[in-house]
Amino acid sequence: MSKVIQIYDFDRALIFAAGTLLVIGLIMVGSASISIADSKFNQPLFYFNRQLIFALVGIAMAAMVLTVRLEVWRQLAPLMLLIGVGLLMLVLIPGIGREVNGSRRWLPLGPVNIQVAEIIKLFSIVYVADYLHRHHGQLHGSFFKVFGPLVLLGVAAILLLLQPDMGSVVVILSTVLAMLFLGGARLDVFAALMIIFTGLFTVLVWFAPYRLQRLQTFMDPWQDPFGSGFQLTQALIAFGRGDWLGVGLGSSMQKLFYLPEAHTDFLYSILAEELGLVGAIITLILFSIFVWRALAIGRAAELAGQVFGAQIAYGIGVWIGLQACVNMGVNMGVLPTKGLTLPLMSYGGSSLLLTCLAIALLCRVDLETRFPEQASARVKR
Amino acid sequence: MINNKQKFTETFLIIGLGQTGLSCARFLVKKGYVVAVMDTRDKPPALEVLQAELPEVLVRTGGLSHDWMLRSDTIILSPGVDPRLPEIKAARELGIEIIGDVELFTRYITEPVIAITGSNGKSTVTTMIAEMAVMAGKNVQVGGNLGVPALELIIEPGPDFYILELSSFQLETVSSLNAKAAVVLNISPDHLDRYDNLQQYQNAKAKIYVGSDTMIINRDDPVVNSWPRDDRRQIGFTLNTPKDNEFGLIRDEGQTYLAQGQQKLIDTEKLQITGKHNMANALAALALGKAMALPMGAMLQSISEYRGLPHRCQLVAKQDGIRWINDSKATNVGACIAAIEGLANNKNIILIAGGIAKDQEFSALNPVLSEYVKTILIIGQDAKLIAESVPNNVMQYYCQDMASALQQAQLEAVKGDTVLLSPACASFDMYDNYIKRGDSFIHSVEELLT
Repeated sequence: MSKVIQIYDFDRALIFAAGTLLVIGLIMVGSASISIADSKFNQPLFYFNRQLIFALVGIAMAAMVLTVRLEVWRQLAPLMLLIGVGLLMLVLIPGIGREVNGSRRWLPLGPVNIQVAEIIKLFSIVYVADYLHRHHGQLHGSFFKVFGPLVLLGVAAILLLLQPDMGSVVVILSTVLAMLFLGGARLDVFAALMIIFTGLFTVLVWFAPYRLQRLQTFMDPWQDPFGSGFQLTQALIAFGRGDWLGVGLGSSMQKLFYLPEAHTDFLYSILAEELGLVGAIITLILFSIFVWRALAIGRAAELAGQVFGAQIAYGIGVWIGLQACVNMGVNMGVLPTKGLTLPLMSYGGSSLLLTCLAIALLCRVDLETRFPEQASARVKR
Repeated sequence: MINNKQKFTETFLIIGLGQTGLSCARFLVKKGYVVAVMDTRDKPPALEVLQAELPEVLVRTGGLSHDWMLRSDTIILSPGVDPRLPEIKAARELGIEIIGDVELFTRYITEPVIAITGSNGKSTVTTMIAEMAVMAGKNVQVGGNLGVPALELIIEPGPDFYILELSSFQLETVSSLNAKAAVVLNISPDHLDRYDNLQQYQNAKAKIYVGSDTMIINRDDPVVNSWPRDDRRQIGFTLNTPKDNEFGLIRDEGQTYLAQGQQKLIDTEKLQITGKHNMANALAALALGKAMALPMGAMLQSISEYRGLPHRCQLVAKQDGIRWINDSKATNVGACIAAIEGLANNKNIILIAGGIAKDQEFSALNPVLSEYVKTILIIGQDAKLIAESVPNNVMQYYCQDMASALQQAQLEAVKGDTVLLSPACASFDMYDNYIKRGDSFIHSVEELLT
């Protein structure tokens, strides 16, 4: 008879951070989208209601994922990424994928649109974790062994670039690099990959003028505050208006017109405006707690001899941490504009759902580490 | 008691060829008897030494021969061999005498024997009393379960005392021990894979008192304390205030003293050893010493200098206010509980436990873990069994090996904590023995802290 796992057996700091971020996110989505939802749909709470439903569905799905043994995911990992790549191809087919603002990123599925890039992020992590599990201890050996798993990921990256969605490519490849590094890849191989990626991005920026423009805008948004620098300057104005304690929940000016679609990528600016520097810092701290717990769970799993679980935890920690940093960085004008959401907070069903699933996987790794089911099979002499 | 010697005239069959079996073969060959050896294993550990040293001894490995057993007059059973094996039961029913190496030993020697057994602490008490005797100028030979097999201790001329640590397995095959002083230190469930129930284990332990001389009784152990007979001389010890002229503890103005009757003997602060279990061990040693008529001064000096055994609550390192303690010798739940209770100070223990459970019941750990243990790091084959007994207010992790457990321990430990390896289990899933396990702990701690 094995012990029944209770809610307080979960990693409390992780649940606390994720839950608080989710609630703050919901409130901010409601606040930031009130006027745009009112003018677009005549329903002030349109986006809030949808986000609330996504959150509830996300939590329900997370509860289901929590009951599945990690080993099941491990065995499905290659298949999952293949399906993901298939979906990426579907997105690009005209008539199937939906085009918004010049990018094909969405697959329509009844009343909702699926953003395939979000799925690919989690699936890539699971895929690489499985790869590292299977090659544990041999990754120091061969150059090709490190490149092996990257072929399928490379295909996924190219398909993402065709959408185009460079932000997701950056997040995925950086996360994968971090996982390979933590998984014990050779330093020279690692350095080679870094050089290749850096070169690749330089070339991409070179050949797509709008990327260069964004980069220039980021360097000095005030050069063209009503053209390419508009969003960024307005975001910075929001931060400035927010001061220490904010203008108060619901009182943002920037969301009314100056920051369009503020409930998605520029939610953090509105949060800073309404809740001030204090709110912005609390959010930052909550994300830090999240990443810290993910890495701690990964470390404990590694010490328990569970390579797959450890790498999943590391991957999720790096992914969420990186994406949060990039989004907040973009909002604060220290990074060039990228179409990346703020995990758990920005409006967007796909992102929220996948983040919930990621948290469920993290909890599962934690529980499997701390409550050994089949330790005897894992004993190392 | 020696008049049994006439029996030793014909053929001896030794079952089990380990260190003990080898010692029996050497002894019997020297005495001029016909000796044969059998072992169920294909390559028993002492096979090569035996064949090189005593080529005339018949050896059969890889199974037991019924034929050989019927032709022998006496079968000598090694402690590692289960007497419940059907072949051995059959031989016993046919009237063949079955004894162990300790029985052989007691039939031969004439000098007084001091015998020590118990679930936990027997090695500690054995070394304590040996050091006391040496301090008192006595000539002693020490061995048994601890290190040198009993028969290899025999010297001519004989010593003042033979001091034997005996396991329950060895006691099963003893019938004429008649020790000068004997003690069962305590009884907690152990080796239940070898005994059908706790009663059998207790019966085996009780055999140490066979004879007519002094019984040393642990007054705090209800089972042991129910055994004394009025016609025997007995000396008791307790962790409470002693009665009559027995040994115990006296608490006075915040100090605790080892005491005999009303008389304080020594402040426990002056001892190098700590923990309640060690106080009980010291008191047992004093009681044994009294039965041996050792002078009190020598005993107290010896006990104040005693530093403990390796792998028994041994302080490996102290850094940044964190103690790292190796208690690898704790191969059962009782020993683990004793170590935790002896070392805990509030809820500051980070416990590393696990290995082979030997069918023990771990639920006894539950209250102790709840009260004293902050985090438990579980290692080894039967991790799941232990995990089931961990209360909810204790953080638990599974770790794949000792080095991993210690790394996790370092992540968890803060100033004032004690990282304790006290596995409550046997070590054979991961190590050759508990010594190797303890060495691995020491090695990993040293690596971690440099």
